Amino acid sequence: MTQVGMTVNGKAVSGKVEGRTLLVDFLRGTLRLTGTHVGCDTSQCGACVVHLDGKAVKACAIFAIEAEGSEVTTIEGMANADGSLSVIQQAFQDHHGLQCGFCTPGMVMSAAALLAENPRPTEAEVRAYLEGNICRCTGYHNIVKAILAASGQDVGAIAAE
Amino acid sequence: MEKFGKGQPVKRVEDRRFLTGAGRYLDDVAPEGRLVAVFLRSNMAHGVIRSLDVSDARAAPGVHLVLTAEDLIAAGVRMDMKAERVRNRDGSRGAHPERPVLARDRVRFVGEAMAVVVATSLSEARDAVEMIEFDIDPLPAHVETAVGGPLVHDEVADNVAVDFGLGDKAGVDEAIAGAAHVVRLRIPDNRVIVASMEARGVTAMIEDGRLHVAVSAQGVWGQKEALCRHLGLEPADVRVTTPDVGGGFGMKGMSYPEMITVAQAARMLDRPVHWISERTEAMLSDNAGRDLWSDTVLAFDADHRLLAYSVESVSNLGAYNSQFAQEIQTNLFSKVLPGTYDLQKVWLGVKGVFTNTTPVDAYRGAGRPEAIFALERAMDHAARVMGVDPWELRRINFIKPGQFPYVSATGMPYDVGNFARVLDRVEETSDRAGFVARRAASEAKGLLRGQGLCYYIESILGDKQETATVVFREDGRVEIHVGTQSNGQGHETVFAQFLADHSGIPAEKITVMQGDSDLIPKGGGTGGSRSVTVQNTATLATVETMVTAFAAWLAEKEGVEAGAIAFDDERFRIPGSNLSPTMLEVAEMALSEGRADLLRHSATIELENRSFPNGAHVAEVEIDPETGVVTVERYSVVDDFGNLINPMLVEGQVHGGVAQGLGQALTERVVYDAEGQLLTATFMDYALPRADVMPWVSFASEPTPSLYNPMGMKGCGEAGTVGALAAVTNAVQDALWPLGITQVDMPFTPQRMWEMLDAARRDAA
Repeated sequence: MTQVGMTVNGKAVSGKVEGRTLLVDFLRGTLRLTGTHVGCDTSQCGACVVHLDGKAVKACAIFAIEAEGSEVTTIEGMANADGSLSVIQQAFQDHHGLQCGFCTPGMVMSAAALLAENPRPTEAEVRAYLEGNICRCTGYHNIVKAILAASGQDVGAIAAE
Repeated sequence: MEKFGKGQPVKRVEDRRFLTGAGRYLDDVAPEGRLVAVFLRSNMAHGVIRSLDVSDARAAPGVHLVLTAEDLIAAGVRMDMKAERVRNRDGSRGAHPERPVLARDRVRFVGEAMAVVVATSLSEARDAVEMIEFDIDPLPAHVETAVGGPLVHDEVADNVAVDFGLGDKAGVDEAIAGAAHVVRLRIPDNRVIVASMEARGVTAMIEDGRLHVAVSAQGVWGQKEALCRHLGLEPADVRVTTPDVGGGFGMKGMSYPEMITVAQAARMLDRPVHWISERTEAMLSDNAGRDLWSDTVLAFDADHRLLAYSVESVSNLGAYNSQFAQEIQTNLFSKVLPGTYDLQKVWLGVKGVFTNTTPVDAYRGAGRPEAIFALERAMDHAARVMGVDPWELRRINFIKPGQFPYVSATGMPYDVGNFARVLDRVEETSDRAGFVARRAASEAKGLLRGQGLCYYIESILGDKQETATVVFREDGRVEIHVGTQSNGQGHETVFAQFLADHSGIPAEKITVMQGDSDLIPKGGGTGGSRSVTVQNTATLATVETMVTAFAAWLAEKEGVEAGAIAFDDERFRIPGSNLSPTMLEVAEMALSEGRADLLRHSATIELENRSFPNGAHVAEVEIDPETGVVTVERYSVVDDFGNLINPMLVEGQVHGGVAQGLGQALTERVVYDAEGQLLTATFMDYALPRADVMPWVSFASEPTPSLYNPMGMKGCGEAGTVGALAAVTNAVQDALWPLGITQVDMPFTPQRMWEMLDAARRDAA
């Protein structure tokens, strides 16, 4: 067992992990941050996406010890400081961008990463960026709409085309 | 106010929890200190278990318990899983060889559970499973969806478990013999893996001497019944709950062996035991969907009016009967066999066969997507063969508005419908008129383009009965207890809003309670697009009960006739009194006067009949002949769901349903090798549709309200999938017909499409 320390959602945390402990298991098991989900075990589905030093990563595809000293943001750290939903989260609710909600944390984290690097993506860019996030409920229609809306674009007009 | 409520696109209250990481899925709420279960699964599709030695595993670090079939039997667990059996055409019941909770003597599919290890940690359990020594003598595997082959169960000849027949075979044969046009088509309907994003899971624990099982499922009561049956427990000794469920789609509606085994382990250890499926494990052991082929024959008169329709199909049941497997491609398929057409001569013959593959059962639509796919493929093909416009062929054969109520050839009492109006509307929304120009534009880029139509009808299913109980709590909150079960559809919002609309109780004061067999004695769960119709009908009845009880009490207090007191969906109006209390205010009065009997109201309803959602899907595809890639460029849906309770959520159901249909048509290909090994057992090999595969889905509502429930609703959960399969396939066929390709079969993966095109090129050369 190795001691590992990192900052998660702005708080310094540490814990003992095995070499083989995945970051997602550290978050869920040790820190009890269960919003980050495991959907596939092969880094395809993206339910486990978190931000590691500002970049979107799949928490099932890196070891906890690789995050040593890093800044990690999970879905639990995405709401505004006053507890209200962030612009992206609010857009998901407004546009019904979620159904069962299981893939949603990963979708929100990917959306945030996309908009950080490309503040006004096209529909095609949104769809391409989500290649690593699978949803079985929504058909992506309202997820794409929500992300375009969160970027300040007129989704009604885009989706009607 | 209209009985169907305000029809508002109210935003979902459950979203806040899901969007902030506060969802409570099974693996998120597993109790501290629980033990972890891992199953040993068969690595062979068919074979005799010669030895199964768990002694090393039992001695491994952290291991608390190892169970095999022998141990379950010794503990008195009933081993045979329950399943419905349909009636064969000779009057006997479908075959029901034993499906044991854990394999004994023989294994019959890769992934079949053989033993379970319960340990302190997941890694210890996994390590111990590796230490189990077993020896399986392989037997030849029967993998194809076909009659005959190596026997899966010695007692089931030719592997035929079911030999089902329904309809007037002689009449159909006679009509075919005398018809002006007879069109035949063999239609394969490919197997799919359901793949809910949250896999199946179970947590079992003993609380105050009772068994509590939390399970990711579609309802708690069927699971409770299964636990009592297998473990020999009284209903009073078992509680079943469901936390948030990450998708079910029919697959989580059934009871599975893992739940029984995990519950037994918790009983033996008197400690919480938790199991959550891994993805590959899910793909090997969750019930699969579809997997059949149908030989269709359509007979027409000289004016292209339908005379008869015959379907002879072979459907794959997998290695054992799952709970409803025998029903799906037989009785459920038959519900919408003749679709929306005025056609009284039909025949459905089905052979359900066992194979050495994972059991197959309900998947979104359960028999109805399969029936509509077959019919609408056959109709489209017939139109092309006869040289008739496919839209026109549908139009002339529709049941006309003046013919309702109409009893279909398979006995379904269609109450209302205006199919031509829906078709007219989709002609506009899909811009059918602009197709020729769009095809020319595609051709100019070297691409093929096709447009496909499917006109579907659905029959909602599931328990016709449901209960709603409203409870006023001392803190001013109101609970509504429901017998349905959200799997992500938004029930917490819809049911609270509906009660609010009809009772005047503010929605934010209402909490929807579901999925707890202690709290709610009975219910039908989710399935068959039933939830909103049955649950809201029950809520209406409960509101009526409440109004009657409160009015009688107020009348007594005010000294007026009970009949004189009116409730206007917000306040009680009492003649000669300034008092006009709301429902909540009356409840507060009742509470302060100690009238507990007025704080709980319940009503149970039974629908007169189920309803018949219908609609038209139009897909437009572009095919790159160089790569075989099929792209859905446009997708238009017009549905008649009757009155919509929450249009935003309805549309979301349609989007998701279409995606599951489009996935089956384009990307989802299940491959077993000849030995019965599943080659597509991860998301790296099995392609669920992704965001860049899906187009925008245009949706419009063209309602003719149902007469069978007070809200005039029709149910929307499965319809998207029902319509999508044939719309996409017919679009692909439309693009390829000019090349002389007259048969196209799902899934249209690039490789399969390229091979089809390549064969046509060779033929032409």
